[in-house]
Amino acid sequence: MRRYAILTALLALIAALSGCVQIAMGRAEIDKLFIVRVFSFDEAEKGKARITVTTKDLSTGEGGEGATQKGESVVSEGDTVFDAARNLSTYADRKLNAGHTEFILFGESIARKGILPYLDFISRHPEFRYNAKLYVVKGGTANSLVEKASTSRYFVGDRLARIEEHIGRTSISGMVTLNEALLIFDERNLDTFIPYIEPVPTRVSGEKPGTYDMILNGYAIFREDKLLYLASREESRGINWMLNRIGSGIIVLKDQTGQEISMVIIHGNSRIKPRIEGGELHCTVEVSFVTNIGEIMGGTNIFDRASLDYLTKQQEKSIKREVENAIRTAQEKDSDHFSILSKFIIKYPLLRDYFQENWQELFPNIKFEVSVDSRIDGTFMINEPITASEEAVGE
Amino acid sequence: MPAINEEDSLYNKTANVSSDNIRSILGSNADYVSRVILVRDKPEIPSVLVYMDGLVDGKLINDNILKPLSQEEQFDSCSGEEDAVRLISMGKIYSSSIKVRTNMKDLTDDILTGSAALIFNDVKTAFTFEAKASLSRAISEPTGENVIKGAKDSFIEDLRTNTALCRKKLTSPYLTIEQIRLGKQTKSNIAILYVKNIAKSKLIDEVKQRLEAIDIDRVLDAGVIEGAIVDDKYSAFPQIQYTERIDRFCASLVEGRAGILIEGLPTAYIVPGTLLQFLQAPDDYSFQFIIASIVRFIRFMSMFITLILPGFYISITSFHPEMLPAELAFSIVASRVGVPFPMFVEVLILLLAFELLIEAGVRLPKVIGQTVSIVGGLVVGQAAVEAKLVSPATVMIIAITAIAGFLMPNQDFSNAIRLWRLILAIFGSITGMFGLTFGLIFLLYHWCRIETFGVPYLDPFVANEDEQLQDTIFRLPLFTMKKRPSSLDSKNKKRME
Repeated sequence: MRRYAILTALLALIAALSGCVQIAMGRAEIDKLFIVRVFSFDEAEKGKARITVTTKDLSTGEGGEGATQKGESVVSEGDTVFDAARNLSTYADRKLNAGHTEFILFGESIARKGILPYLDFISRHPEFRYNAKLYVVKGGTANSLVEKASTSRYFVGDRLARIEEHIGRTSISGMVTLNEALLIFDERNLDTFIPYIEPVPTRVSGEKPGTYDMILNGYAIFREDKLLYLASREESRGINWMLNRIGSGIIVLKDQTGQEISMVIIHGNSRIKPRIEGGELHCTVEVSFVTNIGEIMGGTNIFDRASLDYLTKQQEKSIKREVENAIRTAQEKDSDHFSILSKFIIKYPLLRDYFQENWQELFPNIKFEVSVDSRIDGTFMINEPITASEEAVGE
Repeated sequence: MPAINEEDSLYNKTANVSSDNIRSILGSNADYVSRVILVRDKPEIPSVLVYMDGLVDGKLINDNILKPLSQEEQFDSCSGEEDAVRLISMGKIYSSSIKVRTNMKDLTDDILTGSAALIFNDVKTAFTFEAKASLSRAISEPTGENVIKGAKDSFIEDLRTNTALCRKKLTSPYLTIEQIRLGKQTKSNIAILYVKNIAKSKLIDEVKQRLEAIDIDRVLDAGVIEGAIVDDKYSAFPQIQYTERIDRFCASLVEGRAGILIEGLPTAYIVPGTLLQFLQAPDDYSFQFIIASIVRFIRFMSMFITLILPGFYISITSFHPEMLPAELAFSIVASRVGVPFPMFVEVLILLLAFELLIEAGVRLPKVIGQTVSIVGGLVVGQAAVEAKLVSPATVMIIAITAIAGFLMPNQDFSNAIRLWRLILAIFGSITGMFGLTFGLIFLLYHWCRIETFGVPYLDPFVANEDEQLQDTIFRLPLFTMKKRPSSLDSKNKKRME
C-alpha cells in the first residue's frame, strides 16, 4: 500500500508540475468545438485584422438526407490577429479549435503588406499543425473566396483538398506547408513562394449563380514576407523543375508538319550543382525527364526514329525555356526562391558568412547553365495515329 | 444428513467399530441401509452389511460380498467371527479393494464415499469394499474451450475418471498423482498431478503446503481453492489457469507445472499461471506456425483494444480532438448531434448495457438465451441510437471493444480486463491521455508486482534469463522451442535435443 501511495504521489506531482493541469482543465466535448478547417486572414478597415474561420456545416439538410458538406464560417475583427481570435469567443457558440486547420489563406492585400505578423500568431498558437498548407488568394480577400467557393455539395476545404490531390498532374503549382514557409522566412536571404488560388465563376452544372470555382494557377513569389509578384503557369512549372517538384504535366509540341502533339511527363527530376569558377558563381541545372505520347492531333505517322528524335529535341527545348525563364525572372526580381544560397553554403561551408552578407549582390550575377536530357518512352500502346493513311503505315 | 462433528465421540478415532455406532452416526438418513448377514447361515457368525443406497452398485454387493459369504465353502470351517475375519482378510470376498477398519472415522468416511461395510461387532472389526455406483456423466466435448483441430474429450466431475484420462494421455511412469482431502464437511478429494522428473520439487511442495493449509468447510466450487492458494489475493487477474481440456492440462504438466484436480469439478487447474498463458489458445499449436502467429498477434492486439479503446475514445474526443483525422472528427461530431450526455457518460451507459447483456446471457436458459441478443441488438443498438441516447460512433466503439474482448481465451482473464477497461475509461475521462497513460503504467506496475508460485506474472517478458520469446506474441515453429520455460526451473530443462 505504501508503494501505491508513493507512486500515486509521484504521478500527481508530475501531473501538477508538467503543465498537465492545463490539459486536465482543457476538457471539451468534441461536439462543442468549432473545428476549424480553413483559417483565412484579411485586412479589415483602418488596418485592423480580420480572420475568417471555416468548418464543415454538419447540420441536417431540409430533406433529412443527413449532414451536408457546406461550409460554416465565422468572421471576427480585432486590432491584431490575436485580438480578433479572442473576439470570436464573445459570440461563437462553440469553442474554437485550430488543431484540424488544414488550409491557411491570405488575402492578396495582406500578402503584399507582409504575412509575418500572421505567421507569428500561427506559430505561437499551440493548436496549429505545421503541415497546414498556405495559399494566397489572388485578386480578393480570403474571406470572399471562402464564401464564394463553398458549393451546395462541397465545403471549401474539401474542394481545396481535391485540388491538391491533382496538383502533380499539371505541376504548375505545388503545396507549401507552414513549416516550409517558416523555415525559409527564418533565412533572411531566401525568399519563399506560396501557391495562389484564383476564384472564377463556376463551371459546374447545377450550382447557383455567384458560386465560384478555384483555380490553382501558379506561385505567389515573396521577398522577405511581402508578395513580390504572381508567377505565370509556365514560370511556376519552371520553378517546380528547379526545385525537383515535378510530378507529371503536359508539353504541347508541334511536329515537323506543324500538327500539335501532347507529350505527357511521366517522370522528371533535376539537380542544381553550384560551383565557383574564376571568382564567379556558376550553377548547372541538370534536368532529365521521360515522356509518353499522349495525343497526336495530326494524321502523320511520327513513329520513326527521325520524328521521335525531332520531338525529343523539341520537348527539351520547351522545358529548357521554362527553366531559363524561371531563373531569369528570379534573378531580375532578385528573389532566391530556389534556395540557391543553401546549395552554395553546403558546397562551400567556409564561405557561409561571405555568401550571407553579399547574397543580394551575388544572386543576380550567378551564371546558370541549363542542360536538359529527355526520352520518349511510350506511346500508350498506340503506335500510330488512328487517322493515319494506309500509305503512311510502315514507311 | 446430520453434520458430523469432529468432536463427536462416535466419529472420533477412539470409538469402537460396531453396527450400533454406525447406526448412531448415519442411521437417521433415508438412504442408510443396514442388514444382518449370517456367514454360511451360521447364527454364531453374524455380520452387519452397511452402505448408503445409491452410492454403491447393488450388483457388485450381490456378486462380490453376499454371494461369497453365503456360498463360499471355506467359511464352513469358521467357528466364530475371528475365523471369518481372518478368511476375509485372506481374500475370500472378491473385491479388488478391501480395507480393514478398526475405527469409526475411517469406517464412516469409507461408507460415505461409496464403499459397503461388513461389520463384525464382537471382534470390533469392519471391512469396507469399494463398490461405487457410476454416478458420473459420459466424457463429452469441452464447452468453453472449443478447438477446430485437436482432441474433443474433456474432464468430467469424477476425479478418478479425470486422473485416468490424464494417465491415458500421459503414460510416463513419472506422472505422479497425490491426493489430499479438503473441506471439513465435503471432504472432497483433491489430486495434485505432476511429472516427477520434470516439475521442480519446490513448486510441488509449495502447492501441497498451500492446499493443506486451507481451512474450509466445503470444496464445491473452484473459487475456494483458487482464492486460497494464489499469491495476490486482491488482484482481479487470474494467477491459476483453468482448463477443461485434458491435452492442455497434460501439456502443462510436461512443461513442469503442477496440476490440481478437484472431486466434483470438470475443470482442472494449472499452477503457476502467467499472463502469457491466458492469451494462449490450444489451437495455436494445431495450426501452421505462421497462421498461429498471426492469430496470436491479433489476440494480443485485441487485448489492448478491449482494454484501452473506451478510455482512448473518451480521451481523444474530450481532450485531444486534434489527434483524430479531420474527417473522422467530423464523423464523430455528426454522429453526436442531439446526444445529451457527455462522452464519458455515453460510454459508461453502453459499457454497463454490455455487461448487463453478458450477465443476462449467462443466467438465461439456453432456449430463451437468443432473446438477449435480439433485445441487445435492437434496444441497445438501434433504439438507443434513434432515441439519441447514444451516438452510433460510440456504439461502434463499444461493439469493437466487446468483440475484441471475446477473443480472450480465458474467461477469468477476460473478466479482469473488463474491470480494468472501466478503470482506464475513468482515468481517461478525468485527464485524457495523461490519465490513460497513468492507468496503463499503474496496470503495468500491478502486473510486475504479481508473482505466482515464484514465477513473475509477466514471464517470459521479464526476468527471463534465456529470453524465451519463441512462444509469446508470435508462435515460432516448435523446433525452436528446445527448452522448457526457464522460469519454472524444471529438473529436466530440455524438451528436445
